[in-house]
Amino acid sequence: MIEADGVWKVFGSGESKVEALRGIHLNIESGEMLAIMGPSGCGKTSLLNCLSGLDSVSSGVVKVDGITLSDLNEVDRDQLRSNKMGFVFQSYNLLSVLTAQENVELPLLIQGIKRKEAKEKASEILKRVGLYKRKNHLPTQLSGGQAQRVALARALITQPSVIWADEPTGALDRSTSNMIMDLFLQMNRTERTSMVIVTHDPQIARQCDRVLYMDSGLIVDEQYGRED
Amino acid sequence: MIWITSVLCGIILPLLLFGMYRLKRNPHLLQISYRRIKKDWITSILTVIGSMIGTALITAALLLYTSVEGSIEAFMNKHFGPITVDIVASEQNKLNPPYFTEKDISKIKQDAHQAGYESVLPILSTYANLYTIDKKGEVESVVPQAHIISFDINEAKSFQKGELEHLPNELQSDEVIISDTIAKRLHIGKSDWIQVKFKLDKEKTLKVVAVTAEQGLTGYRGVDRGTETMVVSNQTARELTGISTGFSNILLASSFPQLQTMENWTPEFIRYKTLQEINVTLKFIPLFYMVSLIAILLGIILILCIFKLIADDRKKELGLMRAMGMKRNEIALMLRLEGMIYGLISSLLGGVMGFIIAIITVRNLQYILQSFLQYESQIDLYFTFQFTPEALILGIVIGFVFIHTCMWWISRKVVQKSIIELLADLPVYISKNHTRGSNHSKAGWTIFTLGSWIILYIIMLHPRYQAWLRTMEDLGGYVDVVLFFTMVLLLAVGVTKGYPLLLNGIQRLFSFLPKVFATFKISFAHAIQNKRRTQLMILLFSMIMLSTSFASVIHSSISPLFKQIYDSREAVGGFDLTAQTKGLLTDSEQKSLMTKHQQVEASATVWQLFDSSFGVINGIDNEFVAVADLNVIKKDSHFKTNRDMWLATIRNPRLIVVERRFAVLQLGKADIAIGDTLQLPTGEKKTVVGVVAAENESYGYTMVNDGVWVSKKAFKNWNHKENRALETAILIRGKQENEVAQLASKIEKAFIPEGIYPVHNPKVQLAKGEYLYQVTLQLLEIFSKLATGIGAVGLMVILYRIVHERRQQLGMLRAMGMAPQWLCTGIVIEGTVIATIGISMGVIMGSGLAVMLMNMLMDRAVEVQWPLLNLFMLWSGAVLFTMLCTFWPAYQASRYAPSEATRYIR
Repeated sequence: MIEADGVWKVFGSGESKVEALRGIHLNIESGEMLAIMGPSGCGKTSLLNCLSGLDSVSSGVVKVDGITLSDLNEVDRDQLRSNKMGFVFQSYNLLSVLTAQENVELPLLIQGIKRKEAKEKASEILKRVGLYKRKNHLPTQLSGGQAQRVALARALITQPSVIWADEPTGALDRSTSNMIMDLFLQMNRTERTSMVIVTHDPQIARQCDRVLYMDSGLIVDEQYGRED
Repeated sequence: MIWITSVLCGIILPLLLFGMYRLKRNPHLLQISYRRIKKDWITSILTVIGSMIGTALITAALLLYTSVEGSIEAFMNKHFGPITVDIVASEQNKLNPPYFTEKDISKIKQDAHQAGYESVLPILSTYANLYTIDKKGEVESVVPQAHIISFDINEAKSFQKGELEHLPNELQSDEVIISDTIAKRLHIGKSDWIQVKFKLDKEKTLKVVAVTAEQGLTGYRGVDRGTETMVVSNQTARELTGISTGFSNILLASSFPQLQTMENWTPEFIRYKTLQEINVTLKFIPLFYMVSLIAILLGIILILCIFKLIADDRKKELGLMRAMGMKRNEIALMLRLEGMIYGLISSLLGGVMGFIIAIITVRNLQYILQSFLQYESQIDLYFTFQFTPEALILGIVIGFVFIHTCMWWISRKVVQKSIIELLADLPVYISKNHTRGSNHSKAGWTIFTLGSWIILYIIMLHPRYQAWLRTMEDLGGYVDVVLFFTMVLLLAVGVTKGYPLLLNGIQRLFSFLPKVFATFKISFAHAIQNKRRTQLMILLFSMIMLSTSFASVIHSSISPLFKQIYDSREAVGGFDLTAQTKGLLTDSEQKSLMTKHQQVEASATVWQLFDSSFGVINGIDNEFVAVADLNVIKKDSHFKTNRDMWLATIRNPRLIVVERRFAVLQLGKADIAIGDTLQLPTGEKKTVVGVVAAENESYGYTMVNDGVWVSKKAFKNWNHKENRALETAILIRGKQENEVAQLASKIEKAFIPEGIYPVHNPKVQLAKGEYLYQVTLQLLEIFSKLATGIGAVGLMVILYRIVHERRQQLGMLRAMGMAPQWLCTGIVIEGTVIATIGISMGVIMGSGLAVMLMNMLMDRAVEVQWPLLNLFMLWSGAVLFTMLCTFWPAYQASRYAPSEATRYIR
């Protein structure tokens, strides 16, 4: 589903040049749950950004469902992300001025789905993450776990092929992390949504189908197998 | 001004010194502040530009004020010195013989000292024409209507202490002291000879013994304002005035500004009167202050918005500093320091800009003000730019104080927050306990306030209210002010409470277009949640448009007054030239003066009695009816034509014709009816047979088209003694309207030897008036447009900061697939809609304020024109301009990469 071939990402030039990714080769299968681990600054987030099209690659090729991202213009990349991808970040990135429901329905509105339909779908997915009663709350009125569940609901509402999660449990305690992870697993199983999770938490990684270990812009190790 | 400047400097200097002392102990704070300003250099520059415009305008207004004040002071010193009152013998009804005897003088001295006047000087005063003759014995140069004055020079030296020491102690009968301006006009100097011709054919040749600068007594132009001043000997003056003993005038000196009346005497408060006349011409000057104050207010709102954004943006950083052990007052100091840096740079630059604006403004007004005053009132006031350091310093200090105070206020708010609040992720404007509030309550408030506003608006424009207001006289102005400010308050409350409903309504209109709806929702959600910022932005734009629409309505209302300027005959009632002379001149006497002038089609004399409490009473005859073409709006039904009405008034001394505005303003009769009885100050009762309406264009031109008209026969009863209040207006209509200027020059030459000066050309007078207003209004509009610059810069800075503040959210929206153009559209919509609300509010308030001020300043005599098309153009222009200003920050927003969403540290 997602292929990366010789992906390089270089920031800056001259003495300040930083090689964040140094020729990454990677395949992510449909419905796969992949964890990316490694020390800080090893290039995990850069890899996620490049694979998801949030950032452009310096060289190499990234293909999503056979489409080369670098061949797409900005608008088409936006369209691709809107239709095929969902994002979850450590800092939730919910729009602070919108309620939980409004945050969740937003990706559908961006896709051009009618407001009524978007609203219904948002309510439905909020029920699934257990936050229907909190649908009219602003993000500031939600706990960290609740905010992350809203972020997950927002990522899932468009029924994407892949969800990119950058340290989704980084700001949460163990039990909340487990709850979020359970939701990820549930969505992965029921919707067959691919998941790419950048994490420092080995316990989270253990629950994924495959774990990639990165260091200095390279994938240095790879482990398979999920603890069920 | 020195006092205010000293107080403000006295407050600021210790603050600055204390701040510097604290900085010396904490140099890292200066480093952080400096680096912050440097890092956000674009917003720093825009902030400085926005705040310096306010300082520039207030500095310019202050320098304009001091220049005007300085010029007036120089003029008063030159032409009055210590003189405040002139007691004219011919105006004292009880005086017999009609001049002051030694007995009268000692009585006046006694009364004057009792009233608080410091010195008294008896003088002989008259007017004469001065000229020089060449070797062939022909007239070379002429100075018409010069004030000839004579006094005891030794006594004068004590009256005007220390300024007349250079004058000779005594003048011989053929000696004269002339002013340097006469010397210049007649090209003569000391030891030259000068001819003096008085209207009773008295002629003298006098020798110039001294040429002196005009200063007080040597520059005093007399009650009737001569064109120059000349000091003659006592003997010559007696010969010219015909007063063998005694004096024609008594001058009083005092240092107090108030009018001090005297028992037994009718004084002419000449100093006060002249100042009043100057002030009437200069009554537009406060408008510059108003626009400047609005600009300052705009600057404050802008600075508050920007500093609030800066503080919000650095919330976490400040929280970290607090967590690291930095004290609250150190944080506050750091922020204040930034304010101080902004304040110092912007106020100094603003001061320089204000200085330049003031010079340009004075240069533009200089000539037209001088010529207008000279033509209108024979006041030779020379306006010059006068640099007063205290005005410049005060402007700079005011700018600095405002900026510093804004930052002080913001820093105080920020340091009051706890470390937890500062470190929290939520934006500062959203609290944990935030609720969206009830829409019903908002709707209720909005309906109530805006409903009340509409009701008051309808009341204010209703003719019955206007009529009632006229009956309230001065109180009417206050009622207007109270109503206006109530309306402003209602509008402000209504808009600030109701804007979320409006925004929600707009976004719902686009429910059927999901992408547009989403864009509107995101944009408006920020505006709705961040109430304070939105309200400040609405206020900012309403203030901008208040000043601009204010200037526009005033311009549109005054301009039509001069629309038909080139048809001056219509404006002044059918005449081309007018002149005035003391006493009563008959038609035949007047005609004998003009027999040589074939270009004259018709002429007439109107006798006039000026009564301070009543106004002007015009005495007319058949000649007037032949010439006059006044606009009769109402007449007794017995008269078939206007001419019949005038002829009946001339024949029957019991009839009277009244000017409509005069009836309203002077007599307090809003609707004067035919058949009403009017009592004149002489006690006689007259029946109104006609009402005349002076043309709008002739407003302020009151020589012959104002007051009431009665038969000349009525004047015969009042002329039993030499009454100074009786005058004759001479009205002339030329054969060729386009040759009036040449005719005026010929007639003036004929009139000057008879002591009739000047000959007025209303066309020129109206043109000068028009030009003065046009220049003033143009400058006012320039001031307003500069204030608009604050708004443009402000909107750009605020939106730029907002975009910067939301970059992570913008990144997230991009990650979710929102195209850059939609982000761009969102920012444009947010800025434009908020600005449009403010712009609409400002247009309504500004035009309302203009109407109110016009009603107050113009004594309700000018019909206010609502320039609806102009206002609409102004409104749409402002909206378009605002939209353009939002493009740059919107473009910045669209440039944020989706990967911004993955960045954690700001």
